[in-house]
Amino acid sequence: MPLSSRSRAINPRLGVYFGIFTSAFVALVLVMLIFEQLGASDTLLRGLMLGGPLALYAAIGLSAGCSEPLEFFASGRRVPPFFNGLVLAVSAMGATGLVAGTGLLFLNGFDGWFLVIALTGGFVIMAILIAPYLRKFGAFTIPSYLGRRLESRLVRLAAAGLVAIPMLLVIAAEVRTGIFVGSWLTGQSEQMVAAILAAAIILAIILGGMRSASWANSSESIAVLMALIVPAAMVAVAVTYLPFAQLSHGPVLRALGRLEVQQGMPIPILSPLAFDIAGVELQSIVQRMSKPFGSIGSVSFVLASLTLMAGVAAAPWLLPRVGTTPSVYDTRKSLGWATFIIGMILLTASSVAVFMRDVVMDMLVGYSQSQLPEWFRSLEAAGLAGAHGQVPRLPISSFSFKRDAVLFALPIAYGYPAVLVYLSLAGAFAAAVAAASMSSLALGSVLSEDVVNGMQWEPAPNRIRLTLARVSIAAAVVVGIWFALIVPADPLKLLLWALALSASGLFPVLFLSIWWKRLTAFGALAGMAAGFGVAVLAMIAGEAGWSGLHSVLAGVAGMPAGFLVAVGASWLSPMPSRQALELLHDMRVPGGETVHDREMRLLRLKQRTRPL
Amino acid sequence: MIERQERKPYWRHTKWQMLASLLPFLLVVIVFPLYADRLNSNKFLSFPLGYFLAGHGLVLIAVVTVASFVNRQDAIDHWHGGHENL
Repeated sequence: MPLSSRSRAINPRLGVYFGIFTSAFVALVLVMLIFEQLGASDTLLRGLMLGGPLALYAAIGLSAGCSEPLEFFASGRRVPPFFNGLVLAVSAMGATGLVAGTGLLFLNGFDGWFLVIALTGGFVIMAILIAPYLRKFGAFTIPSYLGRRLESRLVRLAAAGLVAIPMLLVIAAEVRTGIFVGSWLTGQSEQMVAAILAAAIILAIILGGMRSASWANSSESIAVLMALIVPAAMVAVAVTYLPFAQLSHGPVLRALGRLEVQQGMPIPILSPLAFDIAGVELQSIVQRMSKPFGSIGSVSFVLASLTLMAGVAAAPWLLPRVGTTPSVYDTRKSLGWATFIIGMILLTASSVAVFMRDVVMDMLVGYSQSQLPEWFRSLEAAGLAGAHGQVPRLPISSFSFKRDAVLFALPIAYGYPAVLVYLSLAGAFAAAVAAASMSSLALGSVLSEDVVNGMQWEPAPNRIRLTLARVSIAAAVVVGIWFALIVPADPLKLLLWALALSASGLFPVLFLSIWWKRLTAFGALAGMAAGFGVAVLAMIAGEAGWSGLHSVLAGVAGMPAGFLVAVGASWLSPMPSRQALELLHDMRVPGGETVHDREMRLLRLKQRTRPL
Repeated sequence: MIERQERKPYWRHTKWQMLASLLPFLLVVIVFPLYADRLNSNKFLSFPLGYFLAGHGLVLIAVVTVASFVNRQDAIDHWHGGHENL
């Protein structure tokens, strides 16, 4: 049945399709478990676990090709809320949030919660303050929205330049985590894994843009959920007799607390502004699990939660997804799903961290170097963990772990079949593909829509427009991967920097553009520039050690600066035009035709009736 | 579709709903972690209470906040005559 782009009927068979995908994925894992027992070669298992799902994602992405801009940039506005929320949650977190977040909760204990609060709360802020109105507006990219709303091409171009930076940082973060996970899974070199990643991303989104991304990312997200929850539930059953790891690890945590007291783990007294989180290198366990503020000061913790939350809410790589739901009501609902799903994922990650601490206490602490188990030796040989000291009974502080290895160390420590470890790795790789494809799609759309075609409101003819977008997306992927390969930075830091930048540069202007009538183009321009500028300066100062503010907390300086300058500069410039106000009033109410779609329709009518 | 003369009351209603949803959430995000240490001596589901509230509790509150916001905002839309038909 041919579907015109105007019809917004949700495909009623989506559940069936993803049910089929899920069973195919489960079947793949089961078959490989059988293969492993039958003695198949390890290389074959690793290759299948990486290649099998990737082929499925690519097939889904390629089969959703399209030739209409509304399909390409907004998935035809017919993605049901659940799937939209699922994709939003997994692409906000990505492999970096999942892998590094688990490690952070393991190494920094309670202090790792700031990441959970920021990611979960970010969707709350997005749902209440920004998303429904952007959906009603319906622009394909954030710079197009700002430019159209404030009637200024300069704002559009400036915003395009500024949003490119955090998006590039996110791609780099995801690629770096993807390379770490992928080279563990395949044993290939960095360049080889980067090439596989690039191919996976490009194949999944190149033909259908946002439409492909919706469905390929949905399948990737389902794979991520299963790869995370299955090993965690198995360990939970083994430890607590209940499969709900998220709620049942309380007794383990309390037992841990008692053992930590026995070990005499120190309780550091920090300044409230301290901020020191685990990096990529080996890190020894010095912090109690449930004792707050051992590495992040109390004020820093709250400030980091709040600013990064604003960063998630204004994330320019996530907001284009908001436009893909059928209606404003569905957008709100999809953010409810996103909050729920990302909360569940991160709570599962926190239970993995607690179980891993339990493993360390149970199997490692109190033994001598020569008595350490085989699995720990293999992690040590791979450089993912370490034990130092020659005393007969090793204390907990003599063990160190790599932050990014913690999530995968749990199934290894429990001696589960190798396929389950590969499943976890493949899940993290899928998360990297999902998040990197989401942000390269957004970056590519910004490049083609707002930079190349930025000087005119009328879009290019469809064929040229989509070809340009596809080329830009491929370019964004290549540049992002090249950037990741030449900048060997900590992926978690890259992600947090991106969030801090979007919190300071974009959040004030996006918020004011909806909730404050008086915002003018000049105000927005000045606000964005000030927010970004101050945040970048604060980051440089923090990294160089010139100020007491850690670089991740740059939003603390950038956000107020962005707000103040945007408000001040708007007051200094003349009132916005009547047309701009009319546009704002229209986008504030739900229902009716999407603003952007109406403009495109009127434009087409005008072109058709134009005298030759 | 919301009528033109309904836009102003609709927006006033929406603004109050925004504040009513957002402020308690932000307050909780600021307050819970700060009191976590003191609450840790109590237990809930045998979790240390402070840890539970700052982690599971905030996630739960976030979900409840969005759910109630979606519900209330939808009611506001209907009250002012905005019935979205697909």
